[in-house]
Amino acid sequence: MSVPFVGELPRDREDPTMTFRVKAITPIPMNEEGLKHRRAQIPDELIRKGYEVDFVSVKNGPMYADSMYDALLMDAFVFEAGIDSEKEGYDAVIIDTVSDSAMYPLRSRLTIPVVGAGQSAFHFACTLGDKFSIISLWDRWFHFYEQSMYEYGLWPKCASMRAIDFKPDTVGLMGGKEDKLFPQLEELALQCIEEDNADVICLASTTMHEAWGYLSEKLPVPVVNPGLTAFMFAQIFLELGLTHSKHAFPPPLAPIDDVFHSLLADKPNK
Amino acid sequence: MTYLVKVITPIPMDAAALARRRSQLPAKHILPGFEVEYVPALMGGKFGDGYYDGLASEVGIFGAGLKAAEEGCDALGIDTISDSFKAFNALRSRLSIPVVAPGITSYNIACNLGHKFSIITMWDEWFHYYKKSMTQYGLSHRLASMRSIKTRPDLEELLEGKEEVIFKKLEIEAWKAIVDDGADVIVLGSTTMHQSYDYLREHLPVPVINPGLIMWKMIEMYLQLGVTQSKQFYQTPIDPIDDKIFT
Repeated sequence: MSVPFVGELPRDREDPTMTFRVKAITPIPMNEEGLKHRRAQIPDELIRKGYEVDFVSVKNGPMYADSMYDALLMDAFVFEAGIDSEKEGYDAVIIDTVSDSAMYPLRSRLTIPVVGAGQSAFHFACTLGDKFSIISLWDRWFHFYEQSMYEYGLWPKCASMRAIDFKPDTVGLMGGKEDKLFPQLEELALQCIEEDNADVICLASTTMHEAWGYLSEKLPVPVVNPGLTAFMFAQIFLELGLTHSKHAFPPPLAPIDDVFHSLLADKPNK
Repeated sequence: MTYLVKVITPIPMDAAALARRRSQLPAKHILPGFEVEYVPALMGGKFGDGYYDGLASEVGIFGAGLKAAEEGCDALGIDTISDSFKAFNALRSRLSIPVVAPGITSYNIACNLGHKFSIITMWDEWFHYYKKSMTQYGLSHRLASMRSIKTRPDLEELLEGKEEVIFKKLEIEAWKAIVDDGADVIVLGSTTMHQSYDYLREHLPVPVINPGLIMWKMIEMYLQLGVTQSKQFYQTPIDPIDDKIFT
């Protein structure tokens, strides 16, 4: 019987000299400095021997992810950045945003694993406790999590979403503002625990990863760091030869990859 | 540093049977710095075929888990996709080392790979475990179906000597789950079915989750990240009576 797809990776997984390459796509256009801040969310000691991760930026897009307008643009540009990942020799793709922008379309186009920071973080939280709260820098990101809760059927597991009132720096992240922001996030998380009955805290954004260590030490509950969770899941999937179901995410009959590349413009004065 | 993990089987068993359970974790899937030991439950139901057997295993796993933690380990695994639900909760409540189970892990990982999963199992008598898991873990809406090959399992011999017949029957039920029930991921309904994993992966067009193996990877992940179950939810007892429970 001919079996259309069984999750086999393009290369022989038994070769011990082979390196697994993971592409992590940031949803906001950024320079090398910005990519370094993103890369810092994966401690070197958690990257296994034989695995590499490259953080790459979208070529254009919105800066704040603050609206449904921005959400569609993030889908478009993250998708454009991810379409050729297999051809480029990558073995997995991580969507470095809790919005999971373009995750389903990339899963449709690609056979290599595509892991979203949001979906992996929320389901990882579900293995740690009964309900999680999402703590965010500002409530203009809530639309992403609301859509995810509906999409993944996780409203019953979501205790709450709360935010401090801080307009994020999606490129520079929280550097230089730790003393101000970390205690605010801690207080917010404690409100989730004490008032909303959260027993796990999820950081709302991979841009908040710098707060993970501080919050993990201060809070009486596990704290989920979404970008790192996605990377760990990607490593597990690669090791086990797992990828998303092509039955759930069938490939397009008539892909128009070139149109995505040509129609979507580069960021001006990049 | 080396992490020692003990995995508790749902029934008492001898060394040969423990070795068959242990074989679900090939050396290539154990990260450097991790060691695993399979230990038997203090008691358990021979077939796991109803609530009676379920409670017997819960008590047996709980006792073996307490003993394993007291003797020293860095994490516990529970080698049954039922998660031996109350034992899982009780151990998570009593202990602060990670306690990880294959059911909650497999179903949440399946949700990362597709929209709906089916559970393929040996017999209908295990369906009550999956129903409970779906309810307790809030995942009923992600379950396409449960199907069985209506074959009484052997929790010690596993599938040895019966591979040709059993594997094909499991494959057929999995295809029905995919084509008729809308499953896009298959979850093996028991860690005792691990010997069928490679065969099913090769013969099915969807991802197959091997519960004991994926639980192991989750244990590694917890230990690497330094996380454990939420003590806010799994609250520590005020007045434990560990040394008074068992003879």
